[in-house]
Amino acid sequence: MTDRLHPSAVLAPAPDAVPEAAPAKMAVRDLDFWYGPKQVLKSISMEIQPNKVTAFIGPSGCGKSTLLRCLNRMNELIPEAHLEGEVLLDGQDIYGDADPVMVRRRIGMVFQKPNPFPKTIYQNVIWGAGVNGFKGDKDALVEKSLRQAALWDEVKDRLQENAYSLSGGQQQRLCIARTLAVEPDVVLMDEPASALDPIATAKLEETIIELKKRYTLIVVTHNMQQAARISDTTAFFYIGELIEMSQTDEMFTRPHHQRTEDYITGRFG
Amino acid sequence: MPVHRHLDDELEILRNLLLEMTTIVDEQLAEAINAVSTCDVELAARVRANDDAVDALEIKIDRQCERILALQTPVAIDLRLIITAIKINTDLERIGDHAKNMAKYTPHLQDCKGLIEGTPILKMADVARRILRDAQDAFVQRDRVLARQVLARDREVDSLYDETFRSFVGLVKQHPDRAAALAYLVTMAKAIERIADHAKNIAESVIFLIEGLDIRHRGLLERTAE
Repeated sequence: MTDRLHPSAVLAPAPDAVPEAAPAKMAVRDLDFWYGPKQVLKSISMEIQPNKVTAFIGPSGCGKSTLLRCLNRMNELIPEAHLEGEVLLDGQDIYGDADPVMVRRRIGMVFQKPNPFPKTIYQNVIWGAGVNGFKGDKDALVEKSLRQAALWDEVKDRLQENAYSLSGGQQQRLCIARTLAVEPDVVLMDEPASALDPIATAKLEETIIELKKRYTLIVVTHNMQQAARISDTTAFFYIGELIEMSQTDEMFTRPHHQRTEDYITGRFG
Repeated sequence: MPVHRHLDDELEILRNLLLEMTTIVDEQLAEAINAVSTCDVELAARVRANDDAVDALEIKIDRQCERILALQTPVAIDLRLIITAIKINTDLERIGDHAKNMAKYTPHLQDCKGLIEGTPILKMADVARRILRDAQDAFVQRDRVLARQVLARDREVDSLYDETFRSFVGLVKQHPDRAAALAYLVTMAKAIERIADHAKNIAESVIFLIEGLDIRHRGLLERTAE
């Protein structure tokens, strides 16, 4: 007796697996990507829905972080990196003639390890907005950003303290506040909870779910239960290919592809 | 390359417990039918006593499912197996209860062999048992075709129940002095009809397990769609 799906098994779609009606916030079309001669992304096409959390999952080396970095042109900084295909934000190509600084303002990024500047909490939040020529009420922007990152109550009386005095979880939410302060449309997160303890992780996950009311979020995670908890849509990658992308509840109950099932159930060797 | 998972060991324990449950319940049903058909009161008493083993196993299976859910957070096929196990476990325990009740009625049916043989109740019991065995085999062998055959055969029991019921109505008129015994037989016929329903539930769970398809209450879905 085996638990494995017969290769010909056709799993029924969940009753609520209806196509999203909203126009995509971002779209990737026939994207190929190389580091030198090595092709790490192969013909990726997908759409990212607005005000949703999309999780990218897959084994190490599958290309999920590379794709995330393609979504705000971070990979351009790598020598010999080469990209073909299109990445669209609200229907506009973010490559070609687009200004990379403007692209990264509209598509912010939070990294695996919290990376605050060695400055005050206040300066950390306002820094990006200042670089982008923000002329409004800085105090209000700092408060708004910290509130959205669910950090305000914890730091409102110590805004002039060095950011390094915060715990790891607080530093990560500070980095989120810093990203939000430039008012992006999309926030990319590359394993944002991997350096955090379970309580800080839970708080970060709640923050992510709260943020989708205002932003579109894409989260790379190795933690499949985290993907299941926080995301609306999950994309599974394997050796540079997008194997399956579907609603998260469907992916974790009735995956359509054997390879997805093998990965999410931990049968991968 | 497949990797060994601790979860596989836990699922194997669960499968073995379910296998044990299907075996015991099948035996209980077979012996309950034998007790009724031969009016064997001692055998009926043994069936009643053995129901404790079914109940104990039900608790053990539920506990194993609870352990796996809490400690292993299964997804996809593993999760569907746990959901299926919980449902099948309940169906099997209920079948065990029906077998126990059939045994309980047996002492009230002394000297009723002629009455029993005058109805299709034993035929109905045999069909229900065969359906149950097929449903159990479909689960053990992950056989979706067999599971679908079980669904179709449940109707056979339903129509036998109607036939049995009509024959009882005739018998009550002919033998008003045996009304009490006939009332027990009607109750028993209903229990057998319910056993086939539980077998059908098991077959539906097997299809959910293999195909991820929930085929219960199709009429409701169609009415909602309208």
